[in-house]
Order: sequence, then C-alpha cells, then structure tokens
Amino acid sequence: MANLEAKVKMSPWQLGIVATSGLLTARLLPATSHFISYAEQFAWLSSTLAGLFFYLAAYLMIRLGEQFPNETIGEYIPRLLGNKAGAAVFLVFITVLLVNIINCAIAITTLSTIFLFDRTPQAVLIIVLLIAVVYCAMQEWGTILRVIQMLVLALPLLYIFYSLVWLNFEPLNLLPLWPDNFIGILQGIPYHTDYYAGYESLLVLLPLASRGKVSFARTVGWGFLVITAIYVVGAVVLVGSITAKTIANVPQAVIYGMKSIELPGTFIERLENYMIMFFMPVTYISMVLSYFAVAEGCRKYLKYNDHRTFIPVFLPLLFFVSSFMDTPYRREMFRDFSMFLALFFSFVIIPILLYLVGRKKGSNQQC
Amino acid sequence: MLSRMNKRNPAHIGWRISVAGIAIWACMLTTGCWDAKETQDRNFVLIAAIDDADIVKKSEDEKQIARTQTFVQKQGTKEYMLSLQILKLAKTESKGGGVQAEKTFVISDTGKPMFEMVRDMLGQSSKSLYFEHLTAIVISEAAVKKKGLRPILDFFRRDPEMRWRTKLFITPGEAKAIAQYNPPTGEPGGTYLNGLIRNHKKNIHVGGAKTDVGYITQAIDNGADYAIPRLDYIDNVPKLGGMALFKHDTLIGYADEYITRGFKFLYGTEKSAVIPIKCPEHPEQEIVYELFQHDTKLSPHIEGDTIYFTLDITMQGNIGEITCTVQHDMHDALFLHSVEQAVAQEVEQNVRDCWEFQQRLGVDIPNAKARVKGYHPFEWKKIKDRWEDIYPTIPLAISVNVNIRGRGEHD
Amino acid sequence: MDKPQQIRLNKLSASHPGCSLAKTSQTLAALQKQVKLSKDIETAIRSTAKKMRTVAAPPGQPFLFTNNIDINERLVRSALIRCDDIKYRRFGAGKAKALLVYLGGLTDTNKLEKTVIECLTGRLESYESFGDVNEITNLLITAAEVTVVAKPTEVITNIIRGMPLLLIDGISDALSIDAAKYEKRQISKAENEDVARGPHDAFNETLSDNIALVRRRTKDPDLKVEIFEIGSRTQTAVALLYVDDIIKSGLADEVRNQLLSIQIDKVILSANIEEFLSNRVWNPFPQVLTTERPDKTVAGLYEGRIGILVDNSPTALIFPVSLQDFMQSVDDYTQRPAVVSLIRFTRYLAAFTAVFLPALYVSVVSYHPGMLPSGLAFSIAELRARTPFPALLEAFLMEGLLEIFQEAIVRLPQKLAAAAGVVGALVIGTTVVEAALVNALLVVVVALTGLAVFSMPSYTFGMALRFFRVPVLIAAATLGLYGVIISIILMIVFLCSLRTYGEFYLGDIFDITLIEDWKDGLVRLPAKFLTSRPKRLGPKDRTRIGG
Repeated sequence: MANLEAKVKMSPWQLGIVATSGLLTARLLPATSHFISYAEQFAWLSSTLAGLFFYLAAYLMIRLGEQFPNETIGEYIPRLLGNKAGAAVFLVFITVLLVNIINCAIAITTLSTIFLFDRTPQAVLIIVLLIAVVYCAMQEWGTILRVIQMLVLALPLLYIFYSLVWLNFEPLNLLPLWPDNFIGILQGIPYHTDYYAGYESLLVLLPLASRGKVSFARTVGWGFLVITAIYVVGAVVLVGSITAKTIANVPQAVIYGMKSIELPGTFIERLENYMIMFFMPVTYISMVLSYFAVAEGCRKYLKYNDHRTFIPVFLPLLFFVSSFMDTPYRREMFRDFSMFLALFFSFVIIPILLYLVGRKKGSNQQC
Repeated sequence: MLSRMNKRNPAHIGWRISVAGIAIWACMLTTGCWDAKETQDRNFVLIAAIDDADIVKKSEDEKQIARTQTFVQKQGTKEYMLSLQILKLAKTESKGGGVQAEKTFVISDTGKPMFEMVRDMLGQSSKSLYFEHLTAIVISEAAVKKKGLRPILDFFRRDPEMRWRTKLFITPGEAKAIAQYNPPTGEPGGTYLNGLIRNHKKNIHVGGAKTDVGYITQAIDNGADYAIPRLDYIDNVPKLGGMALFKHDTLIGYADEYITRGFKFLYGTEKSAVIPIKCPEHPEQEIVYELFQHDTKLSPHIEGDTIYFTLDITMQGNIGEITCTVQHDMHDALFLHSVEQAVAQEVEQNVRDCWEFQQRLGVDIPNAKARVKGYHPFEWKKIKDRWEDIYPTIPLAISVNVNIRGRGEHD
Repeated sequence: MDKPQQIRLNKLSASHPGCSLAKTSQTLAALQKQVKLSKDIETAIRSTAKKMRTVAAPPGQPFLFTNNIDINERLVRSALIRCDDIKYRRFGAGKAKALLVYLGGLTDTNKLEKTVIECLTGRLESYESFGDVNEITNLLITAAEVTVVAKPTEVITNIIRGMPLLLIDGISDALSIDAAKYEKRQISKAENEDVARGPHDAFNETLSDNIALVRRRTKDPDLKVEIFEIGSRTQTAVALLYVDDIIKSGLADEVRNQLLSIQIDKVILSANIEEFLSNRVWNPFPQVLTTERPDKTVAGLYEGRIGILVDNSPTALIFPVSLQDFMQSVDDYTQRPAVVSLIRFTRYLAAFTAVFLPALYVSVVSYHPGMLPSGLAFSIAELRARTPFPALLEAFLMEGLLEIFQEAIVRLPQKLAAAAGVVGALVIGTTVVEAALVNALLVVVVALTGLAVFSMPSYTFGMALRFFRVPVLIAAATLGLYGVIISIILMIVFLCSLRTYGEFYLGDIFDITLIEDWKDGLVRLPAKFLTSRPKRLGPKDRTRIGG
C-alpha cells in the first residue's frame, strides 16, 4: 500500500521532545544517594550545575551534527578520522548507547524485584523488558516517534505524583542555605550522568529532523531546562522531607521519599508501586531511543538498507550483561564504568571532533 | 553473516523474534509465577510487640518459656520476645449482632535477631506472614533498655516490605498483653492503635506528629534526639498519653502529660487543644480555652558569645467551657482580655517547664542543634564540639499571643 | 408303493430359467450402461452444438447475433437453458417479428408494455419496416434507457440484471432496455446506530437508493461517484464516492487501483471488500469505519475520506479512519460541546477499563495486596476466604461466562429477550456468588468490563478490545503489575504501528505537529473553532466553515 504521508521528517519541537524523553529514566534512583552523600543538602545546586554541564555536551553534539547536515555520526566519522580511528570512535559511541540500555534495564528491574516482587528472578523481568524494547525498536521511525510522544506524557504524571512528597516538607532540613562544601557540590556533578544519559542518540537523530524556524539547540535546550527544573525541585523536596543523611543511607531515595507519604484518609497505600508504574514507560522510551540509535547508526555506518537487521544482533549481549550484574558490587562497578565512558565520550571525544571539523573547514571548504 | 542477514526479510527476523518471545512466555507460564499469592493466603500482621525475654521468662511460673515460643539457637542469647498480632479471616458471613468474635490472634517467639524469630514463627502459622499492613510496633521499656532502640528497629527499617508510616509505641509494662487486646469496637487491634494515635491532633497529651518509623529513622540518621508516645495498659484498658524521650538511642525518661503539652505548644502540631485556666475569682473553678489555630516559630539567636532561643506563639481560639459559678459578662472586653492573658501565662509556664525539663535530662527534642546549625552555620562550626555542655544552659525567651475569636453558642 | 418324492434344494433359476438373478443383474448392468452412454452422447452433442455456435463468434463470446430472429432466439435460449424464470415474448413490430427476453421477477412489465411493446406494435402499421437500429432507439421506443449492446455476454448479463433484450428480425444488433424493478426494503431506521437526535433514515440494500440518500444531503457537483463491478461471478456493483477537490491527491487513484485489482469470486457482503482495504490482515482493530447512516457518510466525505457503497449491503465503508473516529458518534455533534467533551473522556476511560480492569484486579489481589487500603485488603481477604479458586482461574471463569452470555444475547429470539435479563442477573450475579465459586468483587469487576465494551460506539472496535483482554490477563497473572505495564506499553506500540494508506491509526492523538487537529479528538470544541479540516488527511482544501 502506498505511503501517502505528507511529511517525512520531524519538526524541531519533536526533536526536542525526543531528546528530552531520553533523559529521565530509572537510572537516577540508585544514583541519588551517591551524589547526595557528596553534596548533602545542596543537592539542588549540584543538579542545576549538572544540568548546565550536560546541556553543554548536548549542545556540542548538535553543533557537530549541524556541520554535517543529513549525515549521522557513522557516516562522517570515517571521513574525519580515517578508517581505523573512526571505527574505534564509532565503537565507543555504540558502547555508550548500549551501556545506557543495560543500565536502564538493570535499574528498572532491580526496582521491580525489590519492591514489587519477592522471588521472581531478575533475568525474567529483564528478558521481558528487552523483548518489549525490541518490538518497538523494530518499527520504523514514524511509529517510534509516535510512541515516544505518547509515553512521554508519563513524565509530567510522574512528577505530579512525586509532588505528593511536599506533604512532608520541612524547610529546616534544607538549611543552611549557604554552601560550605563547594567541593562536595562539584563532586556530585559527574554522578549526574545517570540523570542525564541518553542525549547521545542526538548524533543519529539529527538527520531525521527538518530545520524549522526554531533551531535544534533551542528546542533541546528547552527540554533540558524542563528536566533540570524537575530534578532541582525534586532534590529540594526530597532533601526537605527525608533529610540528606537518610538519603545517603538508603539505596533508592526517591522510592523511600514516596514511602514516607501518608495521605489523609489513606485511601491509597504503597505509593511507591505507582511510582514504579510511572517510571516504566519513561525508562522504556529511553531504551527504545538508544536501541534505535544503535541500529540506525550501525546501518548508516555499514551502509545497509534497514535498521531492523541490527536489532536482534545486540539482544543476547544486552541480556547477558544485564543478568550478569546481579550483585550490588558488580552494579556499582558497572555504573562507574558507564559514567567514565559517557563522560569521556561527551567531553573528550566530541570536542576533539569539533576541533578537527573546525580545522578542516578552515583549510578546506569541502568536507 | 551480516550480509546474509541483510538479504533476509525484516519480517522473517521479526517472526523469529516473536517465536522466541512466545517460547519464553510459554516457559514462564508453565514453570509458574513466582510471586502470585492470593490475598487470603497471607497472614496479615497488624502489630509487632517486642518484650524483654528475661522478664517474660520470670513472669511465667515455671521459669521456662513454653517450647512453642522458642527455638534452638547456636549463638547469642535469647534477648527479645517478639509477638505478632495476626488478623483472623472470618469465614462465615456476619449476620449482625451476636457476640463480637475475636478478630485477631497472637503468636510469639523468643530470640535475638528479629528476622530469625519471624521465620521461625512460620512454624506456628499456616500461611506466610505478610508485613505490608503492619500498623503498629509496640516495644516494652525493658526491651529498649537492654541495647537501645536501633537493634530492635533495624529489621523494620531494612526490609522493603515494611511501611515507613508504621506507628511506634513504648510501654512500661508488657507489650504482648497489648497485642492480645481485643478492642470493644470490633476492629482489629492494629487499626485501633493506629486510630488512637491519629487523634494526636486533637489530644494535646499525645505526641504523634513525628513518631513513626520513618521519622525515627531520620532522627537516628541525623544523630538527633526523639520522642515516642507512651502507651499504658492497665486492667485491660490501653491509654495513650505522655512520651518516652530518647537520647542517642537510649531511653532517658518519660515526659508526662503536662510536659508533653509543653512540647506540643512548642511545635504547634495540634489542630485543636484544650487549655483550662483558673477562674479569676474562684481559683478552684476553671475556664476552658479551646484552641483551633496555632503558629509557632522557634529561632536561634547568637549574639557575641551567648546563644538563646526565642519562641513566638500565636494562638486563636474560642472559649470552650466555663465552670465558674459566677456569671461572667461575655461582652466585657476586659474580662476577655484577662482570660487571654491567663491563657498566655499558662502556656508560657508550660513551655518553660518543658524546656527546663528536657535540659535537665539532656535531651534535645525540638532539634535545637539543627536549628543552630541551619541558621548560623559559621558559628556552629565553632561550638559544635561543646554542644553537650552548652545546651543545658541555653535560655528560651517565650512570647505568647492569644486571641479569643468566639464565645460559643450560649453565654 | 411309489418311490418317495425326492426333495432337492436347488436355485430357482434351475426350474424357472426366466427368474435367474444373474441374468437380471446382467440385464440391469447393460441397461445402466445404455443410460450412461446416452447421457455421454447428450453432453457430446451439446458441446458440439456449442462449438458449432462458437464458430462464428469472437473469442470469449458464446455466439454472435445474426439477422434471423429465430436463430437468435435459439441461441439465447441455449445460453439460458433451464432458467425457467426467463420469459420470451414474441410480438410483431410492423412487418418484422420482434422478441422480448426478460427476467420475470426483476422486470417492470408495465413499463415494458408501455415503452416497448405498445410503441412497436401500436405505432407501426403492419407493412412498415425498419432501416436500422437507430430508427428504433431514436424514434420509436420511449424507454428511458436503451443501449445497443454488442457483446452477447453483456446481453445475457443484462437480462439477468433486469434489463430485457429486444431483438428485431432483420437487425443483428441487440437492444437492452432498462426496466429493472425489484422488491426492496423501505428506508427505515438504522438498526445498530440509532441516535437520540438526528436523522433516522439509514441505508438499505439497493445501491441506487443509497447513492440517492447521499446525494440528497449534498448538492455538490464535486462529489464523484464511480461505479465498478467486482466479483467475477456475482458482478456486484460497488460505488466509490469522494469529493474531488478536498481529498488528498493520489488517494482516489490508489483506492481505485486497489478495487480493480480485487480478484474474487463473489461479493455478497461489504465485509468482502473491506478485507481487501486493510494491509494488516491479522490486526483485530478495524481499519475501515462501517456505518448505516448517510449523514455520517457525508460527514466523512467532507473531511477528505473515501466512501464505498456495495450493492445488497446496507453498510457504507469509510476510510482512511483513525482510532478517534471509532470513538465518536453522531450524538457528539448534536449535543452541547462541553457535555460531549466529558462524555468522550468517559469513552476513552471505558475503552481502557474494558481491556485492563480484570488484569488490574488479578495483579493487585494476587501480587500486591499492599496497595490496597488496610480495611479494603482485609475485607477482600475475608471475601476470598470462602472461594476455592486462585484469582486467575476465577477471572477466566467469569470471562468465559461473560463471553458465552454475550454470544447468547446476540442470537436470542425476541421472545426470550426479557428472560435473558433475569437469567443473566441470576446466573452471573447472585447465584455464582452464593455458590461460593467467585467472590462478589470479581462479579462487579467483570460486569463493569462487559458494560464498558458495550459502551463503545463502534461494535467492531468493542470486539477488538475483547480480543486483548485475555492476553493482558495472562500477563498480569504471570508478572503482576509489571506485566500490566508491559502490556499497556506493547498495546500502545502496536496501535502506533498501524497505518491505513499511510495515515496513522492513532490519527493526531499526541502528535504535536498536528496540534491544530486536537480540537475534535479528545474533546469537541464548539463549531466556531472547527474551521479547518483535519490536517493529517492532507486535504487540498483545508478551510471550512463551521463543524
């Protein structure tokens, strides 16, 4: 049946929504206690700075993508760096995205295993989730875009639900307002990688968007602003209601924040289960986005016709690595590894690429 | 291989994946659902009561605990006795009236780690114990005096099944007796105790605003002092009143109803309270002031070398009851003003007594430490090591402002 | 003394040779062989005759008309052998003989008498003759539609269609006259789609009546009607309707090609055509909107959709449609916008309930009773203490009962309809609970689910929701709330992946580039605000006035 669709590419605002949907995932739950143990009650300040920090990374990626309109990273990397180095950088890129998927899967299934279930093996939950992700990633981009636009609605709902924690807010817990451990705040910023991971898929998605009146940097910037605002207010209310020291002792702080709510009349209990319900679609779309970016990137790099070829290739790898991370120690190691990898890619490789592009463009008009 | 895959139809790959998915679903369906347990197959635990195993032992005549309430333990001693109140599911339809059937029953065990006792109690229970509806934890004074509160509470904090709004109670007597109590209202004991403490907003003798497991955990994490409501059980009647004061996890003493009232005035957590004052002409008769709105502000001030706290209280209320024999003129502004002053004095005296009481004991329930740290962080750094010595000397300047809004329906 | 008579047993044919069984069966076999042989000879003769007839005919045609009316009559009779409802009327037209061949039940004999027979016999003297066929068509016959048909197959089909054949001696052309008249149902109320306020006329089974109903509602010459004949044997007339300057360019051609490429034997129901218009055959959601109402058809045409009317079927097919169109009814446009917007929310909520409510019940009761308030958890536990089954089995039992009940209601005779209510209430409601088979809460849940399906404006859509209930229930029973969430996500992905003629099945729900189309999706804004056609249908003329 012929496709009589009028439009083929997405608008800049849709790109903004897509980039935003990849940011907030369940990965932030184990990371909260980590960075709050550094930043203590100045978590909100740490989150603000981290938002700017990671927006810078996304901005650099958008700039890089705009130098090569209609091309994904897989296509211009070999030209910039040559075949071998290009292949290595591309591999790092793919690994960053795959690691994002694995982390999301581990985070959400750990959450479910602890709070929703008792004896269900985590591997079962992982494989079910991965199959659902594969099902969506196999569709074409138009469908995935529509799914993202629908499921991203879970984000404001999640936030509104989370706002119930304001019932327990004590301003005293946030004092003193004047920070005395600046080092702690700055130390907390890299740990926000779990909060903001997922924007790397921009490198593959930029060619799928058409230029409109608004620039990509602005729409993605709005997305980052919204997410950072959510995180900042969330940090304020969380520290205000269950104190920084308790958060540092508790593995999933946001969930414990929800546990501490008692609604008048108690007609709903165990609010953390509802929280997990809202986290699932939000994490799901981030995983789908990363998986699609992996498949699309590989397809463009290897010059295939269809991204669906690459999706079953990575599935066993994702499943086995996710199931392998079943003890807290391994999870911590993996989280640290993914943090370093993501930061290395965003803040070392991308600026180098930009620099190379600038140099080449300076000397040679045709690139 | 990739080139071969490239030639393959995407539909073919999709088909393969769906077959794999179906196979996995089939495996899951046939091997069983790991966590499906029907609601009626769980034993709902409503109250967990913790006693000192030695005292219980001594109270039994045989000097031995029944075989059913203990188990062989390789290491450690039997320190605590854990009793769980479990909901009894009524199998027959209730036809109204008739004798109030008992809704709960109690099983007990002795040991030291709570978790081990709970698992051993499965030997007394036909269904698995389900803690998600645990409403109250009652701890006897003797049990707390043994090793402090934290070892008792750790199981209830660590397990993900527990709720953070479970209410805590300290009882001077035996906790198991409270677990065995069947309220005359017909509701289960846990719901009854939950309801008792819910009334803290109207009952000024009960402190219940920040005394559940979650808040106590926060206090322990922050190294602060805390208070837990006191539950007395005498002649088969429970009564909630007063608080048990803890300093760094040790029970220091009890605050009676009067001191609790002072704490509540300090915090401003109640929605409605009743303050009786003496009648101006007849000191043995009373006028009752009913408070319905109450704002307090406790702030630290540091001037030079002195630290002091100021407490501003604003109260709005009605005249609740006048038991004076003399008829007072309600329209007399002077009379009303004098009532307001009397109430203010009463409140101030109460708060002062409370403040001095806790300073004598050395506990810091209003978390003065955190306030000083919050409002004056730089000075805090200097005095933080000497806080224990400074605290008992800190004065409190109280100013109370009372307003009478209404006089009731009948003068 | 005589010798005793000897009794010997022997066959009858030994003493009576004429009664031999063997001989009789031999004769019978010979007789049967004769009969078969004669039958073979008859078939051979017929085929030879046919072949002889085809000698002079072009390929594909059974014969060729000649000048001689007797030969023509014989040829026609041989093509329509053993069709006793075909009548042959000979009469004289001037000097020549004329023959009228018509199908008794489908022809208006009055008209024939007046417009053909009377004209030819009455107006001509017995000595006049004709020059050529144009003289007859132009001057003599007063019928409204007369065509000269060249191909004999068409002539035969026309006779069966109700257009009689007129043959004149001496002229080798055949004339088909339109005089069709047949019994048909009167225009009546829509059986399944009656509304509180709005027109009550509905399509009936006659294509021309249906087209007339549509044309009456719009006097727009841009409304094009193309009629095809689909079905190699049934030759059913299928009409394609669209408004030329509104529809997306290329859509009409695409649909026309699709219709012409249908290779099918018979078209009896409009559903036969419908199946060829969707591209995902295993998809339970309907991709074509069926309606009995002409007003809905016209509204759809004016939004840039295509309508298809099939002869002998009272339903019109409208497409491309999206999910929101299945959740709208004509009542939405006749009632006040504010009220209607709330009712639309209720419908979406009902659609969600219809699929997920039993699953949520099973997952909360079996996996997460901690999510219920304590009092409710205790009372549910007490209710369920009496019943023996686990939650999943209970839910399946009630589902099965509900499905059987729904099927029974559809096929119930009128007289028993009242009894069905009582039986349903008793069986499903009270008695099952009293027998301690299921608990009362589950009965409430299942009843709500059943009602939610019935509240869907489109019956097919409701059935699609029923389809998904059981897999979701199994997912909930295996993995509790996690399974429910995964199944919600999978359903959303499935719905997003459906497309009809390039347009998303979900239409403009949650697509921010189509934000101007949200005015008539989830809510209905008053007519003042509905000033443009839905952008997603790509219409050429986007402005319109009012709703």
